Amino acid sequence: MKNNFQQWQSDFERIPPEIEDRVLQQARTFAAFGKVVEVFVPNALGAVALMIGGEAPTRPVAHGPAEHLADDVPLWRIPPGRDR
Amino acid sequence: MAPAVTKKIVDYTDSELIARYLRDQNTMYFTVLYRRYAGKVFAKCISMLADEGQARDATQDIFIKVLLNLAKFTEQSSFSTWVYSITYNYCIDMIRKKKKMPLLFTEDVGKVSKETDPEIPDSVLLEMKQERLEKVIDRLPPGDKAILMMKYIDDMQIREIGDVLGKTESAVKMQIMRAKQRSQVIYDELYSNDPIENN
Repeated sequence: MKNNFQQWQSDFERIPPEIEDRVLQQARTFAAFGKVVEVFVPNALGAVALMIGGEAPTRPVAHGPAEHLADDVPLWRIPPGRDR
Repeated sequence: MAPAVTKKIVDYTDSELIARYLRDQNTMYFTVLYRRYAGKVFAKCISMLADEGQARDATQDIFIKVLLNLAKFTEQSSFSTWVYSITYNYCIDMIRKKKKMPLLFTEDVGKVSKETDPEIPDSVLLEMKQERLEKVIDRLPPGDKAILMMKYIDDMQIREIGDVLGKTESAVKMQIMRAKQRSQVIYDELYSNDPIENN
């Protein structure tokens, strides 16, 4: 059972629906941005590492069917002295 | 053999929804949390800010804040207490900025009670008619209003109120006592000619 304070408060609980649309739209934008960052940032960092003379990651960093990719790497992309 | 019971998403606890949202980044889980608390947050914003337009903007900002800080929620308190503490602090900050002065608690408006003043029982507030209570609450300083809302609407513990306001437990107890005394004074000012409620 609600006391008089809770009763008074419940009179104001009808929230306009457009606020939900705005909040959830922003939530979806954040989620999409998060996924973009998750997918591209590791690859971008790998590319930068290569450009400044470092080594590329030994395994593909992008999400996806990674297992078969290791066999698909052409020979010319394997650095000298390194096994497939 | 009994069929496996699959739990509906609306039946998930707050903790389950948070964990799944953080794992999958699926807004469906956040939507359930939003629908569970948006009405209460909006009601608190209207009560604190006394302006529907500002309350709409505040509710939106508060939920974005909740979303961005969800990973920092440590479950030291319940999720509702955490959301409400963000709400109260946001509203108090807004009022502070709007009025450009820290007019928050009873001692700020010059009517400081003494520790020897008689304690006002909870029943004095809880037995007021809703219409009168609303008028009394509207005339309280925002800090007093917030502290009474935390105690009587959200059933928050003294320790939790202290965490929200950054005060010690004894300071919170004192503040509640002053807020109740202040409410009594306002009530007497408004209704001294009509002490008996006829409605």
